[in-house]
Amino acid sequence: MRIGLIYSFILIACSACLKEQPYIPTSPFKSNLVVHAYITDDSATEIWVGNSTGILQKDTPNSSTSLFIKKKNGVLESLTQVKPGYFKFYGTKLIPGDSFVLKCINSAISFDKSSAVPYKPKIITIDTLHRINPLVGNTLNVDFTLLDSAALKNFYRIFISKKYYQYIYDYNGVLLDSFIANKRIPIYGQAIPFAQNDYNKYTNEEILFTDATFNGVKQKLNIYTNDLLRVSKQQYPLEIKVVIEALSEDLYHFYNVRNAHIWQQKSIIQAPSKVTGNEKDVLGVVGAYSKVLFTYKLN
Amino acid sequence: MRIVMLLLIIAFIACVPCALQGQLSNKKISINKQNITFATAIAEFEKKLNTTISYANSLVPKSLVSIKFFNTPANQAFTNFLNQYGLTYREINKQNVVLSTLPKIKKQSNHKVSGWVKDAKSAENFIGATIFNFSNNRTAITNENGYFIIDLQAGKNIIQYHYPGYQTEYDTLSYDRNYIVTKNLQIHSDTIAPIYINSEVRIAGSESGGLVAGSHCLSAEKINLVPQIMGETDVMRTISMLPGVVAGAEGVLGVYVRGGNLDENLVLLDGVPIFNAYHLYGIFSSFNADMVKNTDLLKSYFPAKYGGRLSSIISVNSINGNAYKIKGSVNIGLLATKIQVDGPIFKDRTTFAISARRSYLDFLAQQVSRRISFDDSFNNNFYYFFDAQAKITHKFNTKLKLTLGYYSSIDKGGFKQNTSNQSTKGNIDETSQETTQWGNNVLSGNLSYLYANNTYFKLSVHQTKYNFNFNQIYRFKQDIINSAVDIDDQTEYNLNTGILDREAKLETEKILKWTTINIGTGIINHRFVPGNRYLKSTINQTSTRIDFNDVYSSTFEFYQFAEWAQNFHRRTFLNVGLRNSIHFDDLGLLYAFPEPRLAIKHQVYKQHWVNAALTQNYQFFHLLNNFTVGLPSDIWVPSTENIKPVNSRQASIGYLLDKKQIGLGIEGFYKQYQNLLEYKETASYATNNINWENIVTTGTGKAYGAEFIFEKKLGKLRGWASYTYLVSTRQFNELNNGKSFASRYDRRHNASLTANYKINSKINLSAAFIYATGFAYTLPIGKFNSPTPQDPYREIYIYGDRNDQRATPNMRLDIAASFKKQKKNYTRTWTLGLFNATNKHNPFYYQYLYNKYSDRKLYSVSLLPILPNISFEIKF
Repeated sequence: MRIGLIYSFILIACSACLKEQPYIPTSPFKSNLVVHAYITDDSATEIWVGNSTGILQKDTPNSSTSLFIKKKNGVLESLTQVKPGYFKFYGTKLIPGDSFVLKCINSAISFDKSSAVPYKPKIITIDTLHRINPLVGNTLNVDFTLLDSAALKNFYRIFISKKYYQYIYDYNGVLLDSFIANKRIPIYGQAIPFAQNDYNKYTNEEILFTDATFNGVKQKLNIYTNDLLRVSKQQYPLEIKVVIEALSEDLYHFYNVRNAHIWQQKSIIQAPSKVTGNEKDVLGVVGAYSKVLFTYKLN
Repeated sequence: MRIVMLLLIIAFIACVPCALQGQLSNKKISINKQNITFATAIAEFEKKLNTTISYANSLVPKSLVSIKFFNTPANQAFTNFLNQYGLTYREINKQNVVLSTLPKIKKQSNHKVSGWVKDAKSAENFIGATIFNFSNNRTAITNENGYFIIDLQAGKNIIQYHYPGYQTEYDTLSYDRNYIVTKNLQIHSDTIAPIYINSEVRIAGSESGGLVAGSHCLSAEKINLVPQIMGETDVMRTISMLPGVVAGAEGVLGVYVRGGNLDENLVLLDGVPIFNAYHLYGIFSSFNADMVKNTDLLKSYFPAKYGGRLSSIISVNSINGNAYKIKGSVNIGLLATKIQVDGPIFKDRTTFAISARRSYLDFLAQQVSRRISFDDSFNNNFYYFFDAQAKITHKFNTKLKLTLGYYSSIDKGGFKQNTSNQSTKGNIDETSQETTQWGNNVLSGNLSYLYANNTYFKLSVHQTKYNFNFNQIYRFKQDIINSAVDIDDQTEYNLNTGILDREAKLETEKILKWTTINIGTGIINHRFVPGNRYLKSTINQTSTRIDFNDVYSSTFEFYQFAEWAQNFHRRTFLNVGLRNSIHFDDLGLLYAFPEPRLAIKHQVYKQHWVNAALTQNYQFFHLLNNFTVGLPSDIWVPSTENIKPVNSRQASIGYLLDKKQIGLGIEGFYKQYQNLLEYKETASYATNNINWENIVTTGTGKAYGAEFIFEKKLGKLRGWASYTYLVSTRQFNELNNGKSFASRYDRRHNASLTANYKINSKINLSAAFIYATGFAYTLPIGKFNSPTPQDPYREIYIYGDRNDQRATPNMRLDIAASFKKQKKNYTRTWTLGLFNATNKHNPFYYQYLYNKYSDRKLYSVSLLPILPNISFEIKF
């Protein structure tokens, strides 16, 4: 018992101590325009516009911005502001391979940013291995073969999202509410293209890779999840979606750096990593992607 | 009758030209008599030697003499005594000895006294003992073998032998021959034992050495004066109390010397580099203080035999072992237990010294878990550290010595989580296991040979390895009743990083009248493992393994060095060194750089010295680190075609007052860096990156400052105070928009005070206080939401200028009291102490958190508040 007491004391003494400190900015904070544009070939094009703020200030959306997409035929179509700072594109859909210019007009800064929607990933085969068992439900392995385009340098992202019923109970175990939710589940991959991108170590929600090791040829890839996809009192899995995206280069780099930054925020001793924009004096990213997805019903 | 007999005997001796002195007993004797007549001294020897000594009165000195020998072989003691007065002896038979004058030697242009200075109790050679000839004001410092040579001048020479913490001894020698002596010094009486922190250091082992700019020599006694932390005496913590040295963040040790990075320190254990000299993420050094003989810190002038680092040489010399009897100690502290034993294997020939230390945080954690019912996961976490050292020294004769060394340190931690789900339908077991292990492994061999009493040859070979391993295993096992297929899947990820050095070196040190020359050459093979990984999985009974082990790189460093140490007019000492390093690999990479060094010191007046140094150094490998503290997972990488070797140029100038009671040192320095390495701001910092060159950037840096130290060497109250003013900046085109920024350990003001008060021979009090300007850090000053289609709200920080914020100053007071009691066969010591006695919450890092009103606030997080400690030690 004595040893236990002594050690308990040490543990208590060693526990970290928090102390509030005054924050004294060394210079006034200069706000920048923030644009996150994800242009794609279907109706899912979304753009968020905001401003950066001081660290202790509240976020403020930017609703005084106008956005346009100028296609290669010269037609200029505006985006609709669905809610302050959030835009959707209801114009004529872009198709994979289309180049475009995103035109942003703002009282503080205006810019034109050109890019192109990547061609959809060519999935030749996809094979999922479900493990259905009476105890835990489903687990999943995905084997797929990707045919890469030789003409271009290609950038890819893969993730799996789960759609499920979420049940909410009170303290007595009485069901209060239920709703359908979506979330990305942890995925892992062992293939060399995955391992070549060190940024993949910062997240298990997605895998980002390039065609550097299989340019223009077929590449078999495998991913798996250790999410047991089981039915529980809290969750009832409905379906999973395997999403494979082709990304513009800027978007690929942005996702990588963003993942590193988010990881760094959680690390108490990591030196800061900066997330910058791909347009001068503008934070965020103007990127494009196209995707293929495979849906699997569960239960 | 007696005189007649004597004359007959002398005549007999004269008839034997090759007559040599006889062989008295080798038994150890101790005599301590001051200011007695020669006849009384001879009577003492007669008593001790149990023999009759005859002599002619005309031969012997008329003045009073002194004898001081402790546990010294009889023949050696008697010879040394007689030699002082130009006498020798011959053994007629076992009961009769006769004295005579020393045979006249052919007149030489100069005579010398050479030999070894040792601990009287253990025969341990003293490195850095000072030998001073009052007659000609010549000084010599013992070299790595405890060996010295000093000139005599015509007439009587009074020679002083001095080593910190030991009684100073004197010899009176006449200028009629060369002398070879072995001087055994006894430990000082408790009340006036001096501590030592002056700037004496051995340069080329010569009389023209010592007092070099920017150097400190710490004896074992000195290291033990600093209060213990968790029952542990720490070499590196003592070093961090010296001027010019900045400690790491609170709770994390690491030493940063004159604005340099962690990897710029060459830490040597008996001459072998140790790549990570810390345990427990840097809180403790991995050297067992019981094995340490002394430690040198060099900040300005590096002797030419040292190279490959820019900021400092930290040379830890361990004991060889007691030559007479088995000695040792056992120390039980709150954190760890250590044991140390040393002694003779073959008396006077072969000695050994071994030590081992292990922490028991893991055992204690399990005890606590069982007793106070913490959750099971507590049981599954573990961490411990272990180190062991062994050394064997064999003397073939007084001139040829072989030393073999082994050292190992391990830190290991991790967790194992096991969940089991059992039902009537079957069982599921899930196991997750993570293990992180890092440590050093060293094997070394040294052969030294003394030729013609003035030239040392030394051949040394060693292998030193640092390895970091991370292993992660996930296992999923499922047994379903009545199912044809059971599942037993496992995935394993393993990462190894590290560095392996193999080195062979040959050097020679020749000591001439006014000059010492040190020449040598060596080759090092550096083998880097920036990231050796494999992924192994067994899924559906099919095993696959993918290895990513194509990132080894091997480079060679071939070096030659020469150093010339010259004494001008006995008051001015000059050291000129040149090291030429050639770095190459098998892909055709080749770098060759000369590294000139220059140091000069001049005695202005009595104990007043001024000194100055100029150096240029190159470093051919780098430690990639993007953390605010040094971590064991940091990667060593070599210089490449794109990444040039980092280099520095430094100039320093200083003043030293070196009195018997006190010492005062002032030194200023200016240092420039080129090709410093940092990660780019948007780089991936993952621990293994094949293309690491793409994610780093190079820049320049400078550091300058002033250092002050005041020490009180004698008396019941001993200690020192130091202060450092330091500016250290960096400039990288790709960082901080190209603007210059403060390095993290740019701490403008550093002050420390160490005091030790010996109440009596049993009770000793010690205290250490440090103050340091807060470390520089980068703080988020803004933010923005960064939505993606799958992640619509995610806050991203915007950082201000790099390292433009300052943490609150560090202040800490450590106190300790030790109670010693001499028992019949051993000494036991209880030590009680308080780390951070004022419970100052020194920041370790800063973080934004939300308070209870959901307002974001800035918080400092500190790790080590007041910590009591107790330890128990037995020395036998």
